Amino acid sequence: MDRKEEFVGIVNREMNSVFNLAYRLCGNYHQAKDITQETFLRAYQSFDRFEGRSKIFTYLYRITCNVWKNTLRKKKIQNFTSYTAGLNTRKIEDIPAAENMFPDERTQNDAKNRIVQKCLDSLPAGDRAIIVLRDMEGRSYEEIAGILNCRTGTVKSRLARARQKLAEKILPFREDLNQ
Amino acid sequence: MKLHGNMRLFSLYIDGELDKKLKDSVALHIETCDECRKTVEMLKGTRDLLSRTGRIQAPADLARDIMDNIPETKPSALPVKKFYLPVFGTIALLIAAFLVMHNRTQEIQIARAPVHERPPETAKGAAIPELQQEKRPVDEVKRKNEEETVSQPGAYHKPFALKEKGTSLEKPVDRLSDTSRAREGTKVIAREEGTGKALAGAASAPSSSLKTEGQYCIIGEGGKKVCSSASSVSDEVSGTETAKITEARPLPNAMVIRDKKEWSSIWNTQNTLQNLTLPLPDVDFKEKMVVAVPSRQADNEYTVVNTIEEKDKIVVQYKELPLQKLAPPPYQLNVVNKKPSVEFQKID
Repeated sequence: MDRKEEFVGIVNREMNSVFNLAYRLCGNYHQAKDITQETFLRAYQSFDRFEGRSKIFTYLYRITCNVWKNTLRKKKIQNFTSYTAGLNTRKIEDIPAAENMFPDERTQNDAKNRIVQKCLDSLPAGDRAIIVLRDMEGRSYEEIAGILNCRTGTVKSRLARARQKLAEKILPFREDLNQ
Repeated sequence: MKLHGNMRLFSLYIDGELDKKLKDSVALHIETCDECRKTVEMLKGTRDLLSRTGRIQAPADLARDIMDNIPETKPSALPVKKFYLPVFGTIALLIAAFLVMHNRTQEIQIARAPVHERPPETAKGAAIPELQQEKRPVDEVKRKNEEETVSQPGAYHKPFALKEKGTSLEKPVDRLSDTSRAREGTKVIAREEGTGKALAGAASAPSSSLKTEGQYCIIGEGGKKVCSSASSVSDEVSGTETAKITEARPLPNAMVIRDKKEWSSIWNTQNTLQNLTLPLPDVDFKEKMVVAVPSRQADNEYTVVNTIEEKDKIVVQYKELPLQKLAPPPYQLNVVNKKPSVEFQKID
């Protein structure tokens, strides 16, 4: 099996995870698709250098986070807290659905998902990445440290901070979410 | 450890990442503290909410799109993106520049000659007819028979000899490396009296501010310049300059450099003129000064034969020879102990 065939297997196996991470990070279906494609393209370009010392998902997630950060820089969307203005007074129905959704997404995009995603979007980029990796993707502290290229202690501190911020943002919607 | 309101601890607690002792402490605390218990419950509720949130299904055509984007060629071992090209280019240029400088520095072949003791009678100048009329008592004579040379591409190669009448102190610096000979290039560079320590570098034309045709100048401390023609000394700046040249024979354009600023200036100018980038040799101008002797004037070339340190002056002995075909380096730089005056003596 040559390298390309091996890579095709990785795409089929990891594509959903990468896309889901990309979507949770950027909050946009189309953008998530672009990030996923870019991630696999970059992974393929440097695939010969991947020696298997880290797990393949760590390798892919690290690229995903880097592609996403580059996207933020390019679009100069550094401040994701703009939505927090008046967020506490909003109702679920006030929260707009994501733009340019595919029909498939609309069916998946139930009320809870929309609330969670919008609250995530209101977090700073760094906090969002760490909380998505830990609480949505279920990665260990060590794996997150490897993906984000930081120390485990930093992951623990930042995760606590991110959770606190997210909890405060979700609090007004707690009743809706418990339904 | 403080438990109350410790968010990091609570976050680790709900993840089950605390050791048993700490875990029990937190559990005990939140049992008794309503505020912290609510915080922990809130964190736990948020975490559970996120973990329950369904995964988004990737578009059905995503796999095909990914594979369509992947080139048919083999994965690159080192993908070079357009973004990185300027960066890599700059780095490559810097490395190339460093290697060129490094190689050039390594090309400097320093040959050291043994130290010869000068016979006392010649030290006093008795064997030099031209100087007999100006014989002075020599309190302290230090002979520096150590000549140091560096090879420079395309530079002039001339055995540097120390020769005196009736003596056999010839000391050709003929122990240069084959490399330096092959390049036909050897030039006398700055040297330090007493230690014979070579100051790597190249000599070249003086900066225009220092050059005064038909004169030789002393660059004094504070950048003041005293120039002299023939046997007279004139103070161009003020009467505060104490350094003087008393010469047995005039040596136009010879210079004495007494501060780092002028030293740096002449060194940089010479480097530039000869397309070199040699680092500035460190000279302690509190104790030392630099005597710069022009290697050529008109149809003659000059070679410093000896520097003699006396009580209150430095005597620089030089030889005048017909100009050779290959141009010698503009200046021979000699680092000597600091003295109020410098005397230039031409010897045959």
